[in-house]
Amino acid sequence: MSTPSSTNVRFNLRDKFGDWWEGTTRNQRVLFRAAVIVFFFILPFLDNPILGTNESDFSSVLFYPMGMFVIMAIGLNIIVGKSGILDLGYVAFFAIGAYTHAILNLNFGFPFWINVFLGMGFAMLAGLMLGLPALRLRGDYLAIITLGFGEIIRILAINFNFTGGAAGLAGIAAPPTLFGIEFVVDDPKPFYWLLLTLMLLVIWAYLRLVARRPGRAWEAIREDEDVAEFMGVATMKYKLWGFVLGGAVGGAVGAVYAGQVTSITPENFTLQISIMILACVVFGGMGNIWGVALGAALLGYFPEKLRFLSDTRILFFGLLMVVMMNIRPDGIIPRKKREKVYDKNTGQEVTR
Amino acid sequence: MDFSILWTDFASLLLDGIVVGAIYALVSLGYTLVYGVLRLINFAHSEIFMLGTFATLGVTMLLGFTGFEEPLGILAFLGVFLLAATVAGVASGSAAMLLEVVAYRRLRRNNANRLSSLISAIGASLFLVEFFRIITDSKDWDFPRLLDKNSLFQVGTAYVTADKIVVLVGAFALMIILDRIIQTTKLGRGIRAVSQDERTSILMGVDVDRVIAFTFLIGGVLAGVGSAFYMLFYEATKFNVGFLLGISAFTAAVLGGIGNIRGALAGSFVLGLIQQFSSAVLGYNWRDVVTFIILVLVLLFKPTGLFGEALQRARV
Amino acid sequence: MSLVKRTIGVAASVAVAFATFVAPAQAAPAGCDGDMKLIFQGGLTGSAAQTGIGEYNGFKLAVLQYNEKRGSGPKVEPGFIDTQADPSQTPPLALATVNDACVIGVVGGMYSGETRAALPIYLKGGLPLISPSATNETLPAVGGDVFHRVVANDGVQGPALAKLAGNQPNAKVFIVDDQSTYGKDLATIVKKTLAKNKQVGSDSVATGTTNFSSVVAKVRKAGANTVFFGGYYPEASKFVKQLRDNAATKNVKFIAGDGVLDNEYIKLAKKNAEGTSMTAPYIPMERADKKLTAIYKKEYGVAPAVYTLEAYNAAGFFLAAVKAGNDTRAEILNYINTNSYKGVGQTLKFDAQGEPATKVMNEFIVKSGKIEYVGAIK
Repeated sequence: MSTPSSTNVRFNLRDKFGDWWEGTTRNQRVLFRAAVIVFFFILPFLDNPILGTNESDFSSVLFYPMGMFVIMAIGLNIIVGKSGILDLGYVAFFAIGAYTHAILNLNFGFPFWINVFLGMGFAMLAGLMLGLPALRLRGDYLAIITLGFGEIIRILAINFNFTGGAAGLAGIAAPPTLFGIEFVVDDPKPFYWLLLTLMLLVIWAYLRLVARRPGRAWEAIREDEDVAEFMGVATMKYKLWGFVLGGAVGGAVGAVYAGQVTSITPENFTLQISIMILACVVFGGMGNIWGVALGAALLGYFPEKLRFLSDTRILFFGLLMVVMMNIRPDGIIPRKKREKVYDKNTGQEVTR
Repeated sequence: MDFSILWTDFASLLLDGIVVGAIYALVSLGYTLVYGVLRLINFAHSEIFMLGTFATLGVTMLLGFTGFEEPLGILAFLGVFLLAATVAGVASGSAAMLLEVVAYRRLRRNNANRLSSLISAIGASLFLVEFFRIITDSKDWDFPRLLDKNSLFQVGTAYVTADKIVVLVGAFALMIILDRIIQTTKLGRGIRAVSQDERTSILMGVDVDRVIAFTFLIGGVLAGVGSAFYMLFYEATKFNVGFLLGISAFTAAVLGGIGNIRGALAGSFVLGLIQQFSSAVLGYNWRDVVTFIILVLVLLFKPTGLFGEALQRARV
Repeated sequence: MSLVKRTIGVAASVAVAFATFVAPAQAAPAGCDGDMKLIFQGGLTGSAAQTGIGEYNGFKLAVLQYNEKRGSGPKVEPGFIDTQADPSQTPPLALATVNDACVIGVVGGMYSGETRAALPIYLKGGLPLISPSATNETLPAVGGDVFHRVVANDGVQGPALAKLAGNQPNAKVFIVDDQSTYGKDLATIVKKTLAKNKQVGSDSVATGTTNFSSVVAKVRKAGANTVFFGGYYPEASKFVKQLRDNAATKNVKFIAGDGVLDNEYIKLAKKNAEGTSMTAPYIPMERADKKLTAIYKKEYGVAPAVYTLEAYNAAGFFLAAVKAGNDTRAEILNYINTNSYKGVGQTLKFDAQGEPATKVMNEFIVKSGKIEYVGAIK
């Protein structure tokens, strides 16, 4: 993994954009950001045969799977892409958030907004409880532990009574009306906007975090854990933080999800979702938040867009994943590699 | 919760646990071999197994079995089963090699991130499952009863039947053959060399591409023959049959120490027994919870599995 | 890096993008100016596809036959939404269905989970739904007046099964479920209604279980002479085989619900299926109408699956409503709520909850490799 990849020398969206970004003024940047945000807020209205998903409702698809995948992939990216922990059970956090809202709302009447934070809290707690023993392990041992964890949460939900068993829970409250916008089941747009707002918050927090000490610590751990530890990075602490923070994102959106669909069952939280979210992260470009977001949006979008293939759509979706990974092994928008490499022809030091 | 079943039905639980473990072992070897040389979870390996079950079924269908005949005599059975197992082994082996070429080779040559290969494998896995779903009409397929399953003799509560003996003897024979191949042949040495240090083995003149192709071939053949045993034992298959079995087999490989062949064997039997006994005592629905807790505990005390990795190298 | 490689890469990306975006555009008029649409909701791909495809075929056959014989009646176009029987994939599809003004009714969902995920959306859109196979008891509470189902819910079938299991002298019943919504609910109700002294143990396996040997050991140890299985035929066939292959449990009576009532069950379990008792709120297509079964086989090349007939009849009810001159959702909903429909092998009539008004529960038994009708369970 530490060997320089020859693949990212090619056509590179990230660098093209990076060069352009460097040359912009402050005002241009503000304007650009505003334009992007506005674009995403009006996206549900841009439903047309070319962009939209014809067989399924576009604004609903924007909420789930697309929006949900994006925000979960960003959360998982903190775990996998930043701190290098291979997590195959991310859906557990999502499930914990969703069940927190469902159970607390149905049994004790807790309102949505409190449950979002509680869901986040419980997910963090679960992350801490799993992370403390498990994060001592490395690589694929951790992968199987996290995979097991994701499955266990689902199995527990089937086997306990307070989670509604296999039938799950129904009649979960939607968020209360906010600024005159009603959250109703047949209009996913407000939920999408809510998710988008949450997404902006997460991205903002993420960018602040990775630019500072934790970000550097995570990158050091990902590149070489032993060296990082040797250089004085408290690896366990930062890995745990990465795991818990990634889990918090999953918990928060889980509660939002429960509020939108109003009924959840253990079937909503299968291993396949964990795998999909991981695929989103790698497909987009591990470690690069913009790549991850794009990858997640695409992987959420394709199965819905491919519905016109009906019987064979998942077949083509699988093929697409193989082909895309072969064409762009580091993802659509790979992260910038920090290591310095010497060009073999000129002997000059180059940063790739 | 009923602990008394532990001793009242000990013999039957033990026997079935070992038989299930033997089938896990043949599949988990594929995971562990590929992991050994490539440091890669071959996510599509479970689909290679699934393909084998359908190849086995295909052979019996071509031979004209409808499933309602009387079981075969021992010689006729051996002939039919050997043919089916061979075809399944060849089919799965070649599919595994093809998979390596299509899903992994280019990524490996580009020194791509390990996770990229994982996603490529997931894609291949989705493709294979859906492909087989479509060509098999999404149905459950039954396999004819080739062998009389009446009890030959009884040990405690365990009824020893011919199919269990075939599975056990066959699986152990394969494991010994595999061990000999890895230990004594040139390609086996190649596999061991590449597992230890890929770069140095290139310097030493090992044809890495060949070794890797061979590894996939062995893993595929084992899964294919394993699938024939599986069909003999369970007598049914479906396009998604690989998923749950694959998770169990992979767990077994990790439990034993992934990359370590003997570890995978031990892990498989241990896992088969854990599953069998925990589901008898606590109920089948708690089986995976128990397995998970034991896995966590084992890894806490032995972070590289029961038998440790073949190669003690830290990796991310 | 060669230019060729780069070009190929870009070309492939473009080709993929092109293939993806140039999907056949669907005309979506504000009102509806095309034909009326009847939609099937269920899993047509993924692991539950077999049941889903069977139901969809039954549904399609009904619409096809209607269109052939409609005379001057309005044409109805059959459509589908493929949820993969996955509740998380359902809402976008359900919403698109509601937003399509041409859709006048939904046949589906196939399983309770996906049905419940869709019901609040259909309820808002006033879109009537008749489910052929979702049997969870809680559905009417979520679906209000748009919800209907062809088959009696688990609350009816459970006690019937308990009766079947318990009415033999000195019955010792071991109860197993597959942890699906259907199987687990059924097992829970059987546990509640069957006399406690007749229950000797229980276990829960999972959908996709192949190895039942630990369950068999428990059945043996409990000394059960009857095993109830709440679940579907793929697991049931493996379970019954493993029970029969074990000398200690080979004579137990095997009892299951309508999830097992399928010819595939006999095909998979072979002679081990012999003697299996099953309950169902309906009659399978092969029994109900040989001619229709033949037509079905000719049309789709496969035998009807579980609930195929239910889907056929559910579609039939909608089509009868259309034939009677109703063409809006409200009219059709009203028609379904107030009328009855004589389908093949069963008469559909719904009570205020959307449950079938006549809750027939039939008993079947496997005899000489065939499913035989025994009679109604009173």
